Amino acid sequence: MNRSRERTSLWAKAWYKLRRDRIGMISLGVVLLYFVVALGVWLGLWGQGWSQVEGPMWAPPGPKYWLGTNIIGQDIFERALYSTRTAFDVGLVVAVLSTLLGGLMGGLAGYFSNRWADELILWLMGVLDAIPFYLFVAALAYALQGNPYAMHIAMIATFWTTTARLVRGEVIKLKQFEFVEAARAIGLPRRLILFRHILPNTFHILLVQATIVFVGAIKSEVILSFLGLGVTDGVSWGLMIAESTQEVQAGHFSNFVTASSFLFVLVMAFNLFADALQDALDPRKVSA
Amino acid sequence: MSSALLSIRDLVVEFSTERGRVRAIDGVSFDLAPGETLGLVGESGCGKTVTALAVLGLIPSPPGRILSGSIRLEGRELTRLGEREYRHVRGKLISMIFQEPMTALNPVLTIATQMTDVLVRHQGMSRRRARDRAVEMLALVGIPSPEKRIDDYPHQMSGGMRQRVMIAMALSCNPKLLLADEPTTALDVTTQAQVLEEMVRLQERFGTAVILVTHDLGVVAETCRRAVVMYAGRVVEEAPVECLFEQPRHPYTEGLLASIPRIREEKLPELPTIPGSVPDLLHLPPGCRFADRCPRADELCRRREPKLELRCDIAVACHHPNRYAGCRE
Amino acid sequence: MNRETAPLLRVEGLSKHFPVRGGFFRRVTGWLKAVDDVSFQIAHGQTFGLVGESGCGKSTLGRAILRLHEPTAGRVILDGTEITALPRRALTAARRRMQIIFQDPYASLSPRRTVLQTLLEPMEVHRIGTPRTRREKVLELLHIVGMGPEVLHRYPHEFSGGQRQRIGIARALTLDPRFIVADEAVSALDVSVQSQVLNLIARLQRELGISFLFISHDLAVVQHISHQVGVMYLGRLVEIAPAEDLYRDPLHPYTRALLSAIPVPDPKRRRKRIVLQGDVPSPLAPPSGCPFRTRCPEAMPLCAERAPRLTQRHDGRAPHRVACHLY
Ligand SMILES: Nc1ncnc2c1ncn2[C@@H]1O[C@H](COP(=O)(O)OP(=O)(O)OP(=O)(O)O)[C@@H](O)[C@H]1O
Ligand SMILES: Nc1ncnc2c1ncn2[C@@H]1O[C@H](COP(=O)(O)OP(=O)(O)OP(=O)(O)O)[C@@H](O)[C@H]1O
Ligand code: SF4
Ligand SMILES: [Mg+2]
Ligand SMILES: [Mg+2]
Repeated sequence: MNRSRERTSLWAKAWYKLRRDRIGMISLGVVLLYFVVALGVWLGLWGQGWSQVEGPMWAPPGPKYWLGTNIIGQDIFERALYSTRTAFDVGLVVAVLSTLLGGLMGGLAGYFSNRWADELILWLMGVLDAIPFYLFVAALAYALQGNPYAMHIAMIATFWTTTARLVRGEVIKLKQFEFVEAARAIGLPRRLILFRHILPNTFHILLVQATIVFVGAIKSEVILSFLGLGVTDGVSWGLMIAESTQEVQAGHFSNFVTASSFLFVLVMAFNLFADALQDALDPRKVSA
Repeated sequence: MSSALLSIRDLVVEFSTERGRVRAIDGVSFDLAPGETLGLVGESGCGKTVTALAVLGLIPSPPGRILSGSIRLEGRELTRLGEREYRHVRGKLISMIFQEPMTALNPVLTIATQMTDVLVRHQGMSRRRARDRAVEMLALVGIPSPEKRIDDYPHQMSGGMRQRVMIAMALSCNPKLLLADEPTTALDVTTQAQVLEEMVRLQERFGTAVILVTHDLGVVAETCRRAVVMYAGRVVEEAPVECLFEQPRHPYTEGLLASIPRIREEKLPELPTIPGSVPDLLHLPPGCRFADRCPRADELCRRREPKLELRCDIAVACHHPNRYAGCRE
Repeated sequence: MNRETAPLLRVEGLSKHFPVRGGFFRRVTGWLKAVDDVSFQIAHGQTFGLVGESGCGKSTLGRAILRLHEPTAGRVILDGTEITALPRRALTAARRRMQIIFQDPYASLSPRRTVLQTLLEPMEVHRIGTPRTRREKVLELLHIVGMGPEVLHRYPHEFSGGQRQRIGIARALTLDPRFIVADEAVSALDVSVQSQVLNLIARLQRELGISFLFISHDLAVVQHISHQVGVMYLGRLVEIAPAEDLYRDPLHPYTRALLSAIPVPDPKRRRKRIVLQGDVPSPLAPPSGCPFRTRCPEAMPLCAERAPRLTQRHDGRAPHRVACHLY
């Protein structure tokens, strides 16, 4: 029973819950810190010297090169900073677009469940899910020869299906709710029912799903770049790890450790944040 | 009262929620004699289920805990029992029937498995004998061809049948006390009539004491000897059923009785109501919890909370109760 | 007045059969006759109470009348317009005249929309009034259901069940409907609040002259609010009568059992009751002949052979109709 007199939307309540979740807030802080780093790179405040070959090869960490230099004398710290931007580039683009696509497709499939639109979308999702991811990326990268967005497109094309399935399930559930029937009784057109009454109630799924996709995209980017299928212009943690393979054999670990730690901390923080977000947004717990 | 089977005194249960600490029940006291049927009535959220769960030692903790008070079963204090001892009490001495029979029965096990498990564990019966006993119990609650139906899964039965299975299961260990939390609320009236009839019959036959939690005063009138009326976490009135229905003493009980829609010879132009709604447990008024809705409330009511006072077998918590009109008891 | 005599709503032979799918390729393996050949009328400004046990098809009937479910067969005529024959676009316009109030005050309001948004929406969809007049109308409606302007910007989860139900009623009233289906509108509420909402509905009916189809499983609630009462069993109407007649002189054995099963809040009147045997049969495999015969204490051989039709009782004073071979 909730009879509070405060004017609170469910979002405000979720934010209130999130704020009291210590781990959630710490991880959010870490994520924001990374975001500031990426923003700085975009704005040209730092990380601009990532490609300059100026130092000696394998300089040790020191006041000039904070984390040392790599095999051709580039500043590892600069490169790691710049890679943060690459990670957010990939993560944001893929998360936003695949979530939008997934939400839309899932919403349509759910609203028209058991009709041809639904069958078609389900079939498409089945096909996409059946293709091995890395093969798909390789094929696409090859087909789009040199297009720097091949990787993004491949990821969006594969990642939206999970979101769509979740949203479809939720929409089918929501469709049975009486407020949807009330909207029909009022004479609301179907388009409005879907976009105004049903989809807004899947936002919590979309938000959580977006954070999960974000992490997934960053991780995949690293692996793809490592395999040479990913980032082609610029640098990324994956590329750094790829170059470091030679260095590790020679006993120089800075490049490898830096790139993997940057990656690890971000992924970890993001995962914890996604968990906290899920808890905070769970409508059962929020509205109870 | 030493003859009581169950005796609850000043029980306080608190839940910590995101909005603050809520006293779901705040100073609940009542007694139950062996073999007696007691109705626990009140509106949604008044603390009926929490009271029943407290007796069973099943208050979810966290967020809840018993803050103070005592629950004695046959003189033995239950609130201080450890989990292991409590489990023993739950199986043998007290059992419970829940409102939603579908969620209280495990959907992936047959009725036979679920019923015999209980008997094997608490009565130390062999599987063979336990099964015989289970079939016998199912027959007693009126399940047709019980030796066949016992191998059904819960979803193969109707709501009424599932609730009867729950009753059979609850009574199979011959408990001293049965807690029935809205056992028929999810059922149709005709099915409710069947199930209540079986329950009363078995309860008399086994001499089990029953606490029947319900919001339906009609059900109380037909099955209970005494009733406890709760409002916003407190007992406001406790009386033998005849007195309660003939002359409710608390204004809340009176309003509740008046507002039940019942089939009348003459249609009333307007149903009597209790204005307003139940107070938020987090923002309780300083005085009587019912004062905001009460037609008799005065300065005293708004300032000081009335205590539960016992007089001639009727307990009332009100500064201005209806006058006591010579109850036969 | 002529309006008094001509019915507002006529339902003729209405059926709703749901396909039952199973086996390979989810083929249709059978039909569930949730509502089967139901006919009745509701007069202007009157309430028709519909009672019956869970799953007997009450909600399906209410929704089929509003075409929230497409009826399988039959006609619904509201105020001279044949609702069942309207094309989609015209149906949207017709929705202004018929509305619905739901059982579950928790599920019937959009959780992420404020009261104001919820109440403005119907008028926006039908392009009624200006933003100013719409807002005035919302305030007026809230006043009618006993709420003040302070609730406008609150969300549904901030209200109690009774308050939510009032908001649901206000929403149904925004389009000035002539006819409202109230599907278990008070069943989820506590008694003290239930009576408040019942009085509200009765008042609206008197003051605004709206006709109601009042669906409930509670015979006592129905008696208080209805002029006519229909009793439903397994998708069919088994008895229709003016409220006084039905409660004073129930004819169908099912109606009698239903009436006697209601717990009476009076310990001195523990009456002899008719306890029905067995459970409601599955609507997928209804019994032959009379649907009630498997539980009927008075069933005869004839009942298994032929389904009784709804007929006017012989002595025919009041329009009391019953579907039973006993009469
Ligand atoms: N697990 C819980 N966490 C927090 N609060 C709880 C919990 N369980 C119960 N409460 C609170 O305790 C109060 C009493 O609840 P209880 O379930 O006993 O009501 P009830 O009388 O059984 O009502 P109903 O008729 O709706 O079952 C409620 O206000 C509820 O908010
Ligand atoms: N969309 C649907 N698809 C298939 N079967 C349905 C559908 N809706 C209802 N039914 C079936 O139709 C029958 C009548 O259901 P309905 O909801 O109308 O009953 P009701 O009288 O309103 O019951 P209650 O009192 O429980 O609300 C039931 O057997 C139900 O399972
Ligand atoms: S104490 Fe006062 S306010 Fe409370 S119920 Fe009695 S008369 Fe009413
Ligand atoms: Mg309860
Ligand atoms: Mg229904």
